[in-house]
Amino acid sequence: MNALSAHAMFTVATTELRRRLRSRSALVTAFLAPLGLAVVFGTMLSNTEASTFDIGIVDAGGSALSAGVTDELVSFDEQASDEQEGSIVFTVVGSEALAEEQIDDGTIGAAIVVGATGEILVLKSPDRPISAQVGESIGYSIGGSLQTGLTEPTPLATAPLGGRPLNVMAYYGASMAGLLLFFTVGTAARSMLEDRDNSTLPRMLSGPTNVGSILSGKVLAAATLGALGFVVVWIITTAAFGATWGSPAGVILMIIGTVAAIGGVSLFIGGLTRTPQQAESAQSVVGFMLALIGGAFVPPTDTPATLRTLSRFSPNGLSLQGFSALNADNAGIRDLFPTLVGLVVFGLVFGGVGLQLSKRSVQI
Amino acid sequence: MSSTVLEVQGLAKKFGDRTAVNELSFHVDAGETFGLLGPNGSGKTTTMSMIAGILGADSGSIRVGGQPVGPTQHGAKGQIGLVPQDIALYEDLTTRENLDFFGRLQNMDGARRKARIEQVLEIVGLRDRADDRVDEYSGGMKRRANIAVGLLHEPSLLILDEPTVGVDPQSRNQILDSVEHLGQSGLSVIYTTHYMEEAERLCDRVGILDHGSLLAVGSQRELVSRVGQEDRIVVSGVFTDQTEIAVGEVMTLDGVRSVDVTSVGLELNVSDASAILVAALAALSPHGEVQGVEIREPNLEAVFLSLTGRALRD
Amino acid sequence: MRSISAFTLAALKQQARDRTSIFFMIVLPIAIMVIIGTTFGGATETEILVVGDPSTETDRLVSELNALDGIVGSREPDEEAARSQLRRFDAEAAIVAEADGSWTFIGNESSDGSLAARAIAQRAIDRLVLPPGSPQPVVDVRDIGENRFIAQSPFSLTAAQNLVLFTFITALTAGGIIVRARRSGVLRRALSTPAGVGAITIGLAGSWFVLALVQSLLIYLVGALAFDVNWGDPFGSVVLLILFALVGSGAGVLVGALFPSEDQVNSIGPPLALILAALGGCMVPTEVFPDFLLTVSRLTPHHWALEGWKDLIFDRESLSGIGTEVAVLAGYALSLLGLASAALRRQLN
Repeated sequence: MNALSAHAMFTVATTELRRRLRSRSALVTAFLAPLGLAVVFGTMLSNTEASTFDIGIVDAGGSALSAGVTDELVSFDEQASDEQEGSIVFTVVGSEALAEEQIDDGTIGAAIVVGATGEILVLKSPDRPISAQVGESIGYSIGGSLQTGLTEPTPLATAPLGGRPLNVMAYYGASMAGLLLFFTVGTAARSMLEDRDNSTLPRMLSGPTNVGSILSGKVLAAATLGALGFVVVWIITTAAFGATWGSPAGVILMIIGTVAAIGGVSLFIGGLTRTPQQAESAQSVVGFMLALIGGAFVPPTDTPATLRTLSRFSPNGLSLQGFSALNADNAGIRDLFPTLVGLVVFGLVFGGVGLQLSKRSVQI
Repeated sequence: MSSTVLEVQGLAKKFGDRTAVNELSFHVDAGETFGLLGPNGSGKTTTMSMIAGILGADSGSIRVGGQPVGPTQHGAKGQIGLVPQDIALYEDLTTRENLDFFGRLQNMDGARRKARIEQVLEIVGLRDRADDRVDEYSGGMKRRANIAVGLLHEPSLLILDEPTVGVDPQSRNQILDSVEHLGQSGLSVIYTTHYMEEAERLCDRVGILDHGSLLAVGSQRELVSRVGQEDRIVVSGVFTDQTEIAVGEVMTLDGVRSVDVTSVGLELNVSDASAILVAALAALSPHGEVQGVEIREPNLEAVFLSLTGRALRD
Repeated sequence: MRSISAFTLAALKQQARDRTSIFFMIVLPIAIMVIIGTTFGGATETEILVVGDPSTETDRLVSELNALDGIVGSREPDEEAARSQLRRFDAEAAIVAEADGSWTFIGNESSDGSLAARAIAQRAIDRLVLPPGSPQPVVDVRDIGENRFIAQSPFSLTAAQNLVLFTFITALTAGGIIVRARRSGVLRRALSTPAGVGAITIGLAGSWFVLALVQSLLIYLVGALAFDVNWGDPFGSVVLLILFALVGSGAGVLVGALFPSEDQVNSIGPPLALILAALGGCMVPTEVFPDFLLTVSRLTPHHWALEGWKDLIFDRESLSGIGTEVAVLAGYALSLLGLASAALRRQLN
């Protein structure tokens, strides 16, 4: 690139940035939307630490066996409450019908009904899947101990996890900032098409410049805005919501890698389209799909193994893996290396093809 | 003899099978306003894009100030100012910001850029509104701002592509005034339009373009005389049985070439309508009742009609 | 009446011409259902790691875990690596085989699933005293409510969440078309015809309503046919579909009347719709919400629509059983349409 092209690129980039920063909707897309989404999701799911599950116990059999099991569970509750704060609370409920009623109105999350000879029935509600899972596993556990005839369960000590578990606010900050990047960085290809349509592109080209420098300038501006948005989400979730993202140097590298990868993909998508409107819808469709595959909307606790494998093929998923490593494992830059390489490769491959496509699509 | 600013030789461009521009050759001299007149789709914008160096030609050559022009040949681009048909401005920026942006892209250095921005704002009369966003402007002001950007880097050739499309009559007049003024100031201008009255008012010479081919080039007078058009005096009235006598009477006048009898009266083909009008009416009035008179001077519309067999605004 | 339908038709034509939006509206929701459906298999899968050198005991534990429904047992030789997976929620819990033959449980205290995982781990260890291949204990698990004998599709909740989420997103983003019509003067011109603002609002809302209804019907049908979702009482379903489509169309027209540019609708619409949907419980079940968030959730129409669907699907309620939800949604629809009409009137005068 010669001095003239570089000059044109920076001129386009600064003007483009000025225009974006002046537009309210660009500000929403780059800063407010990812922040808002991160805070809502983060608050919604960070709460899990304090969750208490109320499980009802029904002694339906009236036998010594069933009474014994019921007592044992209630006393287990008393023991457990000493070491773990209010995680599972067992409540004795008078009858099966009453238990159903209480599950329905939300007093308890699930119930275990013990029959005279130790038959176990678990009552659950499909709209409370987590309580259902807790109730079910306790039910099986009781069934198991009755079957083995063990009066005391095999000793199972509990060791603390140690370290710092994944910070949900930081996780959603990275995930939502990544999702919205499709919209901010995607403006480069879109802006090219708009300039073609309103003749500012021909006007620029009538001067001593070429399509390549103009497009590079727009990509530079869009990437800068995207990275700024990411940084704002990082700073605000950290300062105001106590998010812990991990080592700053790692976070900065990851932001650059993510912007490169998602920017490349959105440039590619934009290059395939013919009008600014098409570009915008296609970018949002692909953005949502990749974010979804990348696990952006799924709580990290619930991500099934298949989705985790699939997510490596999405720039959002790759990016989230890196941010999770920083966040939960305090990973250093060396640990991030493979992820960063993956992201940059994503960016180079798709971005390179996207640049060519985009140049072609604005041919006059 | 004036020097040639633009020289176009054998220019041709195809889009697929469709010939957009076919073997165009013409030139524009320094200080001349050259009109390219043709209906929509005749190849005007394609020709302008090639002259502005945005679009490559299939064959032929374009030279501005003696230097070749093309998408990869930046040498002559500084001499060309393009004013596209659309408002090719960022409407979310102010006019001053737009000027600054395009000035930078033209590689103008800071001091010169600053000085020129003030000058062109003055020329188009937008100095008071220079710091308002373009989307707050009226249609006419947008058009003027659009022209200002084309003038910024002091080009020797200004390309105006249909600058009055969709503009109200008052703003249109303002635009025509400023183009006229630019022409008088020594700038060479190419002006494309499908309004013949604009070409008649502004252009020293006119090229008539249809289906990508240049049918005729010359001054309005030359073109008119080339197709043999004359002034016409249309007289409406009742001559009843005296029509033949009336026709005989006017035919004796000097400068009357022929007389046609129409359903509403008579039509006189004359060499100079205003010189002969009074005498013609005096000759006619004894033989009938003259109810109305209209003078029709030949114009580019008539030239176009005669060259293509179609009206300009079909 | 004719002027109203003229508007509905014109707006619908515009919507239909926008192929990519149609793609967004139809393909994306179905793709999401398929992805969530196939990856989750409808039920959550819990991974439990067994840490320790290969031995008869640890091998047996891995296979005991794998024998359980919805549990994946896998071996992880390195305890630190296991802890790292737990911290990242990549696995739910780990069982460490200590050198002295005892067992230690490690779970992520900040994950709800770790409570269930501890019970599962206990059960698997207890089974080590039984001979290999012993039958699993007989435990009967049953959903509460009238539907005790109807097998629930594991997609039921996801399908209902998607229905509510996407109907609203599409309606909201399509509001851009109204902004365009408003700014280009088409609406003002329409006002010069005998049609009043009221007719225009109803006409526009009509087309949004058709759009929202078509989309929700599509999700409804795909859910029923491809994912075996039993949506419950048909009358209740129709009422919910219609009411929520009305809410969506009111919101779409309101957005179209309020926002200054199409660009803003496109950039603010989707995140806004996502936030409302998340708060309404369309992404994570509201059972994990803290109390204040639950209060906020009740302010969204999504919450009520979803509650209505859950009553129909899980509790086999009939129309009369979802009276509250229907009333709240009707209130939302009326007030949104009223607000939209007022905003449009103000904009056009």
